[in-house]
Amino acid sequence: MAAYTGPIIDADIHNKWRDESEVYAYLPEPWREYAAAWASGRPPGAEVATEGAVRSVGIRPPNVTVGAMVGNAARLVSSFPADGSNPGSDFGLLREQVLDKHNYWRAILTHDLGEYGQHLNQYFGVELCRAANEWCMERWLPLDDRLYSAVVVPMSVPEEAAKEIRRIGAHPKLAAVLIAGNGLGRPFGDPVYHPIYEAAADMGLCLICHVATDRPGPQITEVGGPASSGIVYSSQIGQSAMHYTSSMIVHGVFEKYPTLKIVFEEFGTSWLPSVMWGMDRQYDLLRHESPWVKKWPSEYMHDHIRCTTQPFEESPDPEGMIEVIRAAEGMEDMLCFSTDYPHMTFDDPNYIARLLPSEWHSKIFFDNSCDLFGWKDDARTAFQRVAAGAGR
Amino acid sequence: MSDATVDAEYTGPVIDAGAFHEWSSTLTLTPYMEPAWAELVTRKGDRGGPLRLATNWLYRNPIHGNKAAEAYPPHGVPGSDPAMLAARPGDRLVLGYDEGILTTGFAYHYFTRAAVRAANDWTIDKWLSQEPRFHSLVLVATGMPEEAAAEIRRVGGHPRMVGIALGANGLGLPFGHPVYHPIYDAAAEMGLPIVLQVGSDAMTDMITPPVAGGLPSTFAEYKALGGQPMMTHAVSLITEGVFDRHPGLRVLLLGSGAAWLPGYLWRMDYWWKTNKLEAPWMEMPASEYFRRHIRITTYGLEWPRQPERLIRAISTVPNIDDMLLYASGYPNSDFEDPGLVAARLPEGWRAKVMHDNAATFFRFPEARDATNAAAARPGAAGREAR
Repeated sequence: MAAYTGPIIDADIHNKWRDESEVYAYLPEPWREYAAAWASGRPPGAEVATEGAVRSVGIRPPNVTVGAMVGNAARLVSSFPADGSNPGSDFGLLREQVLDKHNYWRAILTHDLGEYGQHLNQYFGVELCRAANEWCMERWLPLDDRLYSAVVVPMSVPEEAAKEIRRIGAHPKLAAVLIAGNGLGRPFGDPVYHPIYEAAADMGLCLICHVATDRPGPQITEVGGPASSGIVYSSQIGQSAMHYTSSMIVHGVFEKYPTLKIVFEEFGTSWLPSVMWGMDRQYDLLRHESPWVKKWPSEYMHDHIRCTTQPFEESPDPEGMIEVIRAAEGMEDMLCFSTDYPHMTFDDPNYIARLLPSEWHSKIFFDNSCDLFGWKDDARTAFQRVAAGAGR
Repeated sequence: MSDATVDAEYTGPVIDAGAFHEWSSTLTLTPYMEPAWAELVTRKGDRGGPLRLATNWLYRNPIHGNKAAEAYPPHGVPGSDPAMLAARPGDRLVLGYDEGILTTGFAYHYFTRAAVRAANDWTIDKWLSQEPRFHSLVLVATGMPEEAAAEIRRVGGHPRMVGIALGANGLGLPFGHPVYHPIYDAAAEMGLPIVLQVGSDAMTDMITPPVAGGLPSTFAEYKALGGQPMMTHAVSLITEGVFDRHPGLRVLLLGSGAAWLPGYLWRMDYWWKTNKLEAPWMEMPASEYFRRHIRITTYGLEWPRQPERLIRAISTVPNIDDMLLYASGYPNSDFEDPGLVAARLPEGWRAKVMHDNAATFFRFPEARDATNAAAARPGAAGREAR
């Protein structure tokens, strides 16, 4: 397996605020005041002076805690800025550790994790999504030509999510709609979510579905009982993506919106064959239960479903995982490279390149993401020419 | 809120059945943990800091924070300063856990076990030894009932451990489910009552939601409706035979409110009469089990603008004045001082609610001595064998 020196698109880089007030500044009153009170978790003026872990407060909605056991707040040690601010908040570090270190063409900023819409007060969630989008467009996207992002939407209020997509979805550097967690506890093919998909399709945006907080809670993230440890949680994280995939096919989302694509980020990839084959096997049933399903489920998946490579499953023999991908016809067309920087589950581009057969490199590092995010050929070839000229 | 001027001030004895003491950080507890767990929690040098060892509330008061402004000590979180709790009114205070309950909801059972052990030893070491008015509850994690029972037996013999704080609903089942029997067996054996607290089902890692019909959007709704799981837990304890198994077992619902009680008891009795065969072990109407075994705190009562309206409604429940226990809820932002609560009560209820009911409910040292004396008598094993 060879190294890869061609252009890279990274579909999953998490950007964060240095201080939450950066985001609150974009909120209208009274939500700005609400947010500040929410995040402090105490009466005005009351301070808690203590050492050690006190309680988790902040802009994020209350979330399950299995992640708490992971060291260094589940971030790369090297990603912590020297001034003590949040990993992912320092563009200088991001540029140095990722963008300039490798041959990056573009990267999608996916917030951290963009689950603002999962606040149980959904009206606050709606405002917070708007504010976070403004923050991202103003504070991040102008920093570098390579930085792109996605429209964050409140999945628990589909009409408002659709409005937000139409409001800012034409921004040239917003290339997707970010679905961070399940807002209504219904599988993502459910008609309740269709206004979101319609808006995304109208604006020519794909969907990014990233692992995040679900509602009502851990009972839908993984089934059979909530995960007790990080081992259980992280190893089973693909379960919901499997159902979201089948659900979007069964509910006819891709018949209704034929140009729509969705990329599952951080759910793993090795579950794809199981869903492709498992659903194909039920094709006779589907024709009765969901008469609008016109193609083999695996065909819909090949055309509409993508997965980011990170966290790339490691088989004891590196060939094992490659064999699985080869066994599922065309699966190499469904994979898009991502690092997950600055999270500790970061995959280095060189590491992934070594694992993959070189004939897949340009697809997985570049072409598949170009198609997914709707980036046209002229810009691609121009970059490739420049990159070749620069001798990288 | 109420017009307290019409009644004379209450000057009698007070037991606070529900004030909350808290540890400021998990580093407070690590000295009480086995070295391996302490190392895992401390995480020296980790950029993310020490482990919180607790889950999150699903809801947070967005205006005042969950804690009263005046309850913040100079150092640490509200409830963490023994001097401030010692300054609270009351002849006795039963220190329970509020934020501490979050630790029992932590998804990893083995961590939770280590944490509750440490919390109980810390309570005995740093609180009960400091102030003779302080009493406390054995904190247990319900996710591993056998381990919870072992913890009750380990520290439940301390003379000022006067009950058991049943933490988060660790298995996502109503608390009368037989899977929890080991906990009640140990409680009965030690003569300790159970304190069931609103919030047991309101944590992010729980599979049981805190309100029926879907998750509400606001903290206000949670405060108003968050007692619903207590309704389910109580009917489960009654109909699944926990009190038939342990005729001496007592349960306190902390923060549940009581305005729902009349209709609740009537409906239970009607359906018990109709469906008796479902619970053949029940020897009396459900409401009678409730009256004998279950108590409710004043903290959490649904005080209307005219408090006497609540009194009038709950007075339809026979002996309700024997079933209420004063609890302050300190240091929560909606805590209530004894004077305020007593002023809202009919004069004939005050001594009972403010003191007497709690005096016989908890296993205070004198009650324990009486129990021991009784147990020492030949043939006193009683009905516990069922």
